[in-house]
Amino acid sequence: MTEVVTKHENSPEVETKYKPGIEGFFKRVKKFVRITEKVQEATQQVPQEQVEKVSGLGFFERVGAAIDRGIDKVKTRAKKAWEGVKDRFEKGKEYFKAKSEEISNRRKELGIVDTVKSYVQDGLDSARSGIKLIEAKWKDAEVSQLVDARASLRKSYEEAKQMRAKGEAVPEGYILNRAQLRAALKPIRTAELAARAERRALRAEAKKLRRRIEKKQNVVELLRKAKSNSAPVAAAAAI
Amino acid sequence: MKIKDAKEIIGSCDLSEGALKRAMEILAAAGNDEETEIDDATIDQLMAILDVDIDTDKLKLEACDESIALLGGFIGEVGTVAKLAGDEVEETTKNIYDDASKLFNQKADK
Repeated sequence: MTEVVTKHENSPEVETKYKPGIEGFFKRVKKFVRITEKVQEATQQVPQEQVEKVSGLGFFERVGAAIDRGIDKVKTRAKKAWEGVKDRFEKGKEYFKAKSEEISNRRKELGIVDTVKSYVQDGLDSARSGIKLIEAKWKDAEVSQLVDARASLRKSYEEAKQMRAKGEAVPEGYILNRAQLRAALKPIRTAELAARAERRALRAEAKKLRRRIEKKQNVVELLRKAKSNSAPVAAAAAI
Repeated sequence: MKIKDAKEIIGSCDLSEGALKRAMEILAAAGNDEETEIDDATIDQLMAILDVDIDTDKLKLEACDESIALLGGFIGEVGTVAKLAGDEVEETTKNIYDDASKLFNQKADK
C-alpha cells in the first residue's frame, strides 16, 4: 500500500501522465470560455438582422456563414474598386487616342513643319500660347485622371482603416497587384511615349532647320563678298 | 558673280518654293547671258529674299524648340505623377498586407 502510494506520488511517469492532463483540461476549458466570450462579443457587435439569420445555426455553421459573408464582401468591394479605377483610365485612354489621331491627321495633312507653323498663325506669341494651351490640356487631363485614381485609392484605404477600427474584415479587394498597376498606368505610358515620339520628330526637324539656316547664311555671305568685290571693279570701269 | 554661279548657289541652299521661284525670276531679269556678272541691285534683292527665308526658318526653329521644351516638361510631369501613384499603391498595399497579417496572427494565437 505504502509502495503503491509512494509510486503514485513520487513516480515521474505518473506525474507526467497526470499533471499535464489536468493542465490541458483547464487550458481547454479556459480556451473554450474565451472562444465563447469572443463569439458573444462578436454577436453583440453584428447587426440584429445578421444575428437573426444565424440564430438557428450551430457554432461551426455560424463561423462558416461569417467566413462566407466576409468572402462575398471582399469580392464585392474588390470588383467595385477595380471597376472604378478601370473606368477612369479607360476614359483617359480614349482621350489620348483621340488626341493622338488628331495630331497624326494634322501631320498627314500639313506635314510636321506646317503643323508647328499652324500654331504660329498669329505670330510667335500666339504660337506660344497655343502650344501651351494644348500642352496644358494634355497635362490637365492626365493629372486629373491620376489625381482621381489616387484619391480613390486613398479613400479606399481610409475606409479600410475605419472598418478595421470597427473590427470588420479588411477589404483586401482594394489592393492592386503589379499586373493591375501596370494595366492602370498603361494609358499614361502611352501618352508619354506619344510625347517622346513627338519630341523626337521635332528635334529632327529643328536639326534640319539649323542646317538650312546655316546654308542660307553662307549664301548671303557669298553674295555680300561678291557685292564688295564688284564695287572696285565698277569704280575702275567708271574711271 | 556670274548669273550661272548665282543660280547654282541659290538652287542648292534649300530655299522655300516661293522664295526660289522669286529668286530665279530676279536672275532671269538680270540678263539672258549666263556669263553676265550680276549687279549690286540684283545681289541686294537676292539677299533680301534669303533674309526673309532665314527669318521664317528661325521662327519655325523657335517654335520647334519651344514645343520640345514644353514636351520635355510634360514627359517629366507624367513620369513624376505616375511614380507617385505607383508609390502610393505600393505603400497602401504594404500597409494593408501588414495589418491583415497582424489580424491573422492575432487570430492564430487565439
